[in-house]
Amino acid sequence: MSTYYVTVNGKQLTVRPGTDGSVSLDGKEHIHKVRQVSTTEFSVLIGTRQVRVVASADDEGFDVIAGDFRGRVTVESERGRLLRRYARSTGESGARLEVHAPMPAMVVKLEVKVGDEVRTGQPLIVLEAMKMENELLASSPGRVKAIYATAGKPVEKGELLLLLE
Amino acid sequence: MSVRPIRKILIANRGEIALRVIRTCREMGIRTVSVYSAADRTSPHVLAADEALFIGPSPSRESYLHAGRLLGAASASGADALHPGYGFLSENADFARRVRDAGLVFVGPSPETIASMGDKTAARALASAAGVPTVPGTPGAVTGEAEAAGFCTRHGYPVLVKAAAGGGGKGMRIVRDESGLLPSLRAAASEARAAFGDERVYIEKYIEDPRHVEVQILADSHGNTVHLGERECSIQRRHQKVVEESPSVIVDEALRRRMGETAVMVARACGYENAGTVEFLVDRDRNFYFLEMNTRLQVEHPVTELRTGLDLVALQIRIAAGEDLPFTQEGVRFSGHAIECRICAEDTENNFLPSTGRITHLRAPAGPGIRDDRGVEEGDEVGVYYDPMMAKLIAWGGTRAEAIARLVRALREYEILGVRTNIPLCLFVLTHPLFVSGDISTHFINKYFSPGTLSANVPLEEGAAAAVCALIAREMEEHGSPALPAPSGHWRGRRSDFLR
Repeated sequence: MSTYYVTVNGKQLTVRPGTDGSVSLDGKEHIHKVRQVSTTEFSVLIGTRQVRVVASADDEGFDVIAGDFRGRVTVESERGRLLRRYARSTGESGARLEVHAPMPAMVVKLEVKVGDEVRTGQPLIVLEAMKMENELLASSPGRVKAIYATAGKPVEKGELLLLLE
Repeated sequence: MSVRPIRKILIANRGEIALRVIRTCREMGIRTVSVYSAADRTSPHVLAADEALFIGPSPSRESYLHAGRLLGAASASGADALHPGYGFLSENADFARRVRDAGLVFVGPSPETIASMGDKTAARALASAAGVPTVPGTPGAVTGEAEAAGFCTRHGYPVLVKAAAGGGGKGMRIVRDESGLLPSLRAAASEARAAFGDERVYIEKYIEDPRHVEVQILADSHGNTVHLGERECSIQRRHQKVVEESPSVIVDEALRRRMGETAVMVARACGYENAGTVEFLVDRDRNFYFLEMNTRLQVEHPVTELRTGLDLVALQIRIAAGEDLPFTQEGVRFSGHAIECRICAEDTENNFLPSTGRITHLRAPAGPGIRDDRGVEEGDEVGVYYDPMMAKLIAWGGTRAEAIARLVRALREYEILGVRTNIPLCLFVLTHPLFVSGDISTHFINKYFSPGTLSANVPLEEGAAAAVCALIAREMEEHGSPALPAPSGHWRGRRSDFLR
């Protein structure tokens, strides 16, 4: 039986599909009867409770609406997780935190400089896209190791802007 | 002014508002001309139009903000009128003048009126001269500490010290009592000097927990001006409206009449023609103060349409053609309650960052009392070039409670995948006990909303269902069929036994 690690809006679940339509979630057995309606649409019966689910994949995971839940779901197989752990352990030592551009944008302002100590939630870089200025915030505390972004220059989605350590 | 028939209109805009105008033109038998940038060749506003002209590259300043190219398109199409929508060049007096000089009807007020209301300080002075209440403030920059103290003693605390050259909250200080005045004056002046190279500051009475209430007016070219009641737009994020409704829970019949008459007074004072909106701040004691006038159709106009049964775009066109308003103030009838939510491509959980991408799935709500004014379809790209607002969802109900219930139901039905949306924020607001009880101010979202409030209540069963479906979707994607274990004999085509 394969095991999958699924995160639902940041919360991790261990999912083991059974051979009989049942599914084990975090070691607890549930019966989920799933009907796929189209490529993106599903109907799930949990007992008699019906949940409509729509899911659409992108590079990093899935955009999902399930009943009143809306959010991100990522799926990782056991093998994928092992590979990722291995890659991490052979990589550079010390925690690294890369800040990437979440969208194509213009760099308006750098709020920090190399060597600055930052705390969680502190603004790092101001980007402008869709007529609006947006602050990229530090998601963990650290020290600014390198800055690759330049004020006044455009950046592509996913471009590395800043490195924390 | 004689009636001048309009047979073909160029819409100098895109997205939902272009579609909105096209729909009314269709009903009136008017031909429609859309313009498009490189990014918009197959956008819904182009696909819905009778004619379409290319106006330039994707960035707005080279297309939808390029007056010369828009005028070129208008003359090439042979349109007799131009509708500017909202945003872009809709409040640009110079553009309105060039449209008029090119011999076209501009569906909006005269360039002179746009100019007089465009300068916000001059507009307040004009309103004040017409006897309209404005937020009390020093007439200009404060000349000395004695003048500042005198103003505060006369009008009472709290006050707001603002940079004269200001903007963006820099050099701004709330002063709650006399002891704070002088330090704040000095701090604001030095901040203003650093930010703008200009240390002049002025003082305004600070309105605590203000509400934003605006009045829709209509004026024809024959001297008839009416108001269509108010819209409350207090639910804002970073000064952008998110939820709008009519009527406002704090406006009773008497206040509605007073605010309406005041709005009509402002419109008359600037020689207004066409549809416009007069914005007010309302304090806790229901005193209202003139903020500014928007000389165009507002994003939130459908709220007024649902409550009055009128088509504001049709009335705009008829007024622009020189017709009389077909009703008087006494003829305006209000019914029920309407609420609108702006559906934007932004990531509510991630600091409201704009979300771009292709819309991979879209299923719009329907049913009783629901109107969906939308500018995107499934398969469309939401890019970085334009405003992130994709749609406006509006509900009408006999009562406010019914309108809220319908809007909540419809927001839950609304499915958009591929870009993140602010639907979770809209649902947060509409189901919040304070919103439901009507106890709101422009600080509502700042005060009560944090992304944590959303992720904290992921229902377990929905989360699990989401997980299982994502798993299947991933397997479908990688292998063309779910590679989940299936007992022999139960495999049905591409479906595993997991799918039932």
